[in-house]
Amino acid sequence: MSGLTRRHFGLLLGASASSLALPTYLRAQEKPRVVVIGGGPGGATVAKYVARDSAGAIDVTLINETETFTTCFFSNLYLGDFQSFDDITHDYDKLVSNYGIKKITGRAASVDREAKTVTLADGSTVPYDRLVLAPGIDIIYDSVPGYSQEAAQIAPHAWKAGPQTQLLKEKLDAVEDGQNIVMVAPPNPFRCPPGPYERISMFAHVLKKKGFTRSKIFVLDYKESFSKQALFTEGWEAHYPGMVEWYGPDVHGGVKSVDAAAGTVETDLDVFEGALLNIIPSQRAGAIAVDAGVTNEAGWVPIDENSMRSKVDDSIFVLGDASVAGDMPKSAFSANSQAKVAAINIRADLTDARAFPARYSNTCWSLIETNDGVKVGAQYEPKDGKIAAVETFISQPGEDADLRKATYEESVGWYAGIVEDVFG
Amino acid sequence: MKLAFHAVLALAALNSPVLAVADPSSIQRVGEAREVILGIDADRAYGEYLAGDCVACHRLSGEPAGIPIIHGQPVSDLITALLEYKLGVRTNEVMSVRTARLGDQEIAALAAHFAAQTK
Repeated sequence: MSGLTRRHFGLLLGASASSLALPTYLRAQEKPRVVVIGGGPGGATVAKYVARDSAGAIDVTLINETETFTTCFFSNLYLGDFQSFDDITHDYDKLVSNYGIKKITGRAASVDREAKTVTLADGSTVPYDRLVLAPGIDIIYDSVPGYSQEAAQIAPHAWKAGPQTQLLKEKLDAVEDGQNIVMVAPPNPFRCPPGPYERISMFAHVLKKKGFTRSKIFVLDYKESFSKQALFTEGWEAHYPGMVEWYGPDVHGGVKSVDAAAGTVETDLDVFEGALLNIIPSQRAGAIAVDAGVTNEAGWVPIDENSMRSKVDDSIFVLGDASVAGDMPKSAFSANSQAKVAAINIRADLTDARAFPARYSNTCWSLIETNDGVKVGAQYEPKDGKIAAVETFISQPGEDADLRKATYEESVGWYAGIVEDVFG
Repeated sequence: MKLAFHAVLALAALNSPVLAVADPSSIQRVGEAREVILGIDADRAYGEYLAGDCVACHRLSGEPAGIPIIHGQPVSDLITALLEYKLGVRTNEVMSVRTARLGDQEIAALAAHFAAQTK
């Protein structure tokens, strides 16, 4: 811009021409561009933090397939009638109006890493200087024999919040006393490690509240053990005696086939029949990460532990469930935390902002029964080539009721807090 | 402001009680460390970055249900609260792990950042 300040340049423009008429080389000197794919707790947070903290020096575009975002976190509490669907659904209005983020409602179909452009499903392209991939998970339907996207309309996974969650709720509410529920729980790694077991708790809560204690909930797990196992097991025995039966692979011998229409799951051990089947298959990073060529053989994205930058492309950052984040679980809290590390590195890349050492945190609260909340959490730092837990805690079996109630109330406070941090 | 903060602390105490028999030496260490930290020229930009850990739970607006509001509180009170969690005078597992590895510079930066935040 040879001698013109940005402000003077803008004034000249106002007097003479629209920016569309600018020659390409001048447009190229406009603000650096950050494009974020995925408007969940990772993507929306990084969009907000880059836009807010760069105070207009960086153009931020957020691409998300839907107008609103229903959070997977707390969706179990919707199933359990502790939250409404509206309570867990949020819009992007404040991100647009408060921070000048450009929101595109559409599906990002492909990434051209050479040209540094994202192509949307409608054919339009969006250029970037830094790209953030926060696409969450894709479900690998055929990892469970007999299961498919079509079968999910009868036997929902509900592992991506939205219509699937509402379908699961409808089916849960239709279960009658004495009818059973069968859940297939996924192998590691997967989104929200305590999630299936909190969901089991909410299933049991809804049934028990109606007096349907003759019903059983069978959990056919791909894993030998699961998150907060001692806490959930204790809680199920205390609150829902005889209602929950959990089987690891050493007992059920493997899931042989799911027949959604018949309502059955066949294992080596037995054929389990349910009025409701909740099938949660294996997962991998969202398809756009695969298309961008940044995933590993397992379908997840390796990142640099100091910045959340892709290990194969310096211009791409990857957040949340899609990333290989070392000791961090795939959780909303993790994604939100990672977004802040990515944001400061993106700003340091593109402006004169200072980058600070990476630090990460996570807490996962789970509700077992009314006012019986438990939590697990940790603080993380880059160490030995990965994001490593450096301080950890977990609720203990046998805690008194007041502490469990306070833990639940804390989780409600956290939900309000993180929603404000992500979307507010 | 001071009174309001103590009202908030009282709420917070539901989740994180000051131990009935807190180690007197810990309480003394909090006092000593606070004086040292109050003398630090806090790095507000660093504090803003570190605050990312806090604002996933602590809100700028709304009622402090379940989790107290820390924005706009006096620097000295914020330093005291962080030190009490770090040194085990107050117990809440989330706060204990968040504060365990905070150094004096980090505590000074966080306190300066949050004290400057208003609704």
